[in-house]
Amino acid sequence: MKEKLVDILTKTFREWELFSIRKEKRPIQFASGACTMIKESVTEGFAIRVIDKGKIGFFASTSLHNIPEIIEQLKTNLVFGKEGAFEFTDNYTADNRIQTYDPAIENLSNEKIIFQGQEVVNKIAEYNSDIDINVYLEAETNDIHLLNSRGLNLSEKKSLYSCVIEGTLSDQGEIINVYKGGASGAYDLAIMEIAREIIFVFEYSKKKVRLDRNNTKVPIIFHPDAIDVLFLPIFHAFNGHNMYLGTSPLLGKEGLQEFSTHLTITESPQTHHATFSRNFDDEGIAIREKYLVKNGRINEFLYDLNTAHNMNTTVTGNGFRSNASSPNMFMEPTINTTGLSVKEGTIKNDDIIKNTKRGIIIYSLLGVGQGNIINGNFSNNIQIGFYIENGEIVGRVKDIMIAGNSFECFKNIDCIGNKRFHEKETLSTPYMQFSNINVVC
Amino acid sequence: MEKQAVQNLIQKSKADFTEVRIQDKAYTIISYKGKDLEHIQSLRDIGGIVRTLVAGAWAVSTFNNLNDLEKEIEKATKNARTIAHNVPEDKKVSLKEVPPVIDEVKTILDKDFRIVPLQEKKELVEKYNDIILRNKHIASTTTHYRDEFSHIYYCNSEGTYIHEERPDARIRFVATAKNAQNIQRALGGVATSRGFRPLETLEQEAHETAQRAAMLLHAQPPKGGEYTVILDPILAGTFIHEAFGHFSEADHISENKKLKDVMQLGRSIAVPALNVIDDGSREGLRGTHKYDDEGVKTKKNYLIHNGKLVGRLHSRQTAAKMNEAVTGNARALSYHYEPIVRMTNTYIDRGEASFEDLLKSTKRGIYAKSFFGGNTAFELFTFSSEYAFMIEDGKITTPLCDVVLSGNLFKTLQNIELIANDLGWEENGGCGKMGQVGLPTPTGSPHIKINNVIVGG
Ligand SMILES: [Zn+2]
Repeated sequence: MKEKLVDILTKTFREWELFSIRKEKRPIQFASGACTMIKESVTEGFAIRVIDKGKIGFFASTSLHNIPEIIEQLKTNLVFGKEGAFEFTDNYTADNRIQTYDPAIENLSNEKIIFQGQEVVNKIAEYNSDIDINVYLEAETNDIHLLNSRGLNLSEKKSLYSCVIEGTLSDQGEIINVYKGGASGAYDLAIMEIAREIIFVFEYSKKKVRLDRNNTKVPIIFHPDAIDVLFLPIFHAFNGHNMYLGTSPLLGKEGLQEFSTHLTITESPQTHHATFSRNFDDEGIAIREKYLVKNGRINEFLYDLNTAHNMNTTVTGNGFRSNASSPNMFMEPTINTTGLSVKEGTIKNDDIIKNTKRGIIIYSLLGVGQGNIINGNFSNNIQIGFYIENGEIVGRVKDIMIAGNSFECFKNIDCIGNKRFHEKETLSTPYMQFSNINVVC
Repeated sequence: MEKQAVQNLIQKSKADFTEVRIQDKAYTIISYKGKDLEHIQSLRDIGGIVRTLVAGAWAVSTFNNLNDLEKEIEKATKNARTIAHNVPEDKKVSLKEVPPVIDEVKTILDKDFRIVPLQEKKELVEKYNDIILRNKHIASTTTHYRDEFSHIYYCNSEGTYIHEERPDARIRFVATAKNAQNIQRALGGVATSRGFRPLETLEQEAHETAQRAAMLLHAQPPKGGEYTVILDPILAGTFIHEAFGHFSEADHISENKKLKDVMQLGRSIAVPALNVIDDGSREGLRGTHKYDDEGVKTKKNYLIHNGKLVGRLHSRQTAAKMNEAVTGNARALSYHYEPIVRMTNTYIDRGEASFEDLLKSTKRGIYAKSFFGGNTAFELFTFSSEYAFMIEDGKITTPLCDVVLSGNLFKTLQNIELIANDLGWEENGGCGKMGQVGLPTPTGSPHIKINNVIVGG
């Protein structure tokens, strides 16, 4: 069937690209401590792009049954298609040296996944049987195949294993909800470690602290679990498409010292078995390591084929159909980051707490993504955060909001810890501390 | 697939209960970003889901190759059996009995988008995009069009067979305004299950979206603190969906003893003037279907009546578990997902005051309009308005941006001071729960006035 499609594409269009994928997912869920459902999903399908007379046509489907209809649709979509004068690539030279596939995940039995979930449930129940526990484990394998009219023929198998644990406890009329997750491209996820962190949060939440309204000028320490809120505007600003549109606040600031010299952000896809590990992006461009920010200086932006062409710059291998870890064939390639990491500082993560006389450490925030990701303003309710006094966590803070601007935060970083968390996930940072965030209560 | 063929395969299933849902969806996407056409796509998504219940345990299997149906039913039955012995007695799943239904649900569209030529759709989207771009403060836009038409075939081992047509279409505007100091965004658009026609007259909407973004350039963030807040119908409807509606979903309640206490029926939970309803049968809205995704007829369900908690939302599973009546709220985003308890069209019923009454009685406060985002962690909620104004001595004054409201649900429901009589609906809303994100869940409300809301700034 696929050979026939390739044959007809070659006869009909000068420039074409065929992306196909088979995705197997096994999500297993423990709701309130029990696994009452087991699920297996297979998704398969393809997406075609064609370019002719400076226009792009796109079509995607789960069904290859009616090839003449597919070709007709493509022709129609091409007539009204978007402008795109770029060419598909044929110069892939990397040799698939980044490991993206771990057979242990594909071969993992449902029984074993359930066993792992049960272990988490038991561990947390042992700590406190009143905690309502949900555990979500998922094994995923993607088979990716990319062909084009220039002879490109790439394939890659990619595995993922992820876990989310959520615990809920009602305590003296209030309800505490704690969740934490982790993911990896190999069968090496420290699931019990995540369970232990959940227990840690519950333990420290026993005591509540009321913040003095007249004394809220305190440094804020971000645990890496909660730091996304500061990086959403960064993702947006380094996306080459937003340079093209003129909506990136970093437009025209290449090479300038915009942030604290402590800040270095790399896009580090050269990691084996990370969730984002890939050898080529969804357009067939080889993945390479990049510095977005180097010692506070703006260094490089991210581009896919079409945007790079429009901006007359070099493609960076950031064209993904939704995201690098689990492509979605129904999405056209657009610019996305693979995995960003913040370079470690010199101080121990724990010492950041120890050195704090009065401050707040944040483990999770509500309303992430609701801020103004273009200009960087954010304002969020602290869901899980602790008050620090004389270098020690003394209790959980409640009914507190923080507000600030991420670009301003990165201009004045108090300190960065010396160990990164979530090393195999899309955002990996150490603890970071800032003093220019407002606290409202 | 043939109805008879599916029914035969289900009859052969050895599971206690078997259901099959097949979806055939064709959709079109057109979007502009700035002056450029960004996407023009037509897509076809066909797939199925099997759900089997064996000895109180579920197994679900989803697939694209419909020829695999028999194999998928067998696999799911085997999988359910492997976990069944591990399910504790008190967690075993059973289903509330409902009468089997055989039905064909056709839809009548006000201009069927399936026969509107791609060129016409493109020109319409381009026209709105140009209107927004013509505003000299606008630096960029996103104008996004999407239509989809699904045939859904639902069939179960109790004899239910339903073929339902589900149309959906929407246009969404994002206008980004920029000056030397500031960048701001405004959102607009319409989503509808009624056809292409309602999307054809949005010139004014596009124009106003651009104006709002430009206005926000000169808006100030509020000074953080506690305020009296008037919410417009969009924000108030979203508030009731996000902060309270999810609490009414029985899958949360049925498994959690303490939440069950908090959400005890008959309890006074809000001011007596408050009535909250979820109605999946209300004509013409995007959350409306004749049957839910378990083949249960939808209906009007009171959640709060005169300030008292009187009802909650059920699937067959949660209704059986809590020994209450089914409500028709088991919904699935697509064939990739099993049905879970969801809201449909959720609203605060109209009160008696006028909007003027709300304003005039406010000496100092914030008038927060339109929804930008929100989420909740049990009784804590945070949601942000797209734009807002100060209220001083009963009058709307300076524009505000970046207004984020937060608080405790139960305190807030007791702090509602006035409810206006101007019920309005917002159909753009999409709800996310347990990985099923973007389910159409319209919300409705009149203007409401709430005291002592924390505003970040
Ligand atoms: Zn929701």
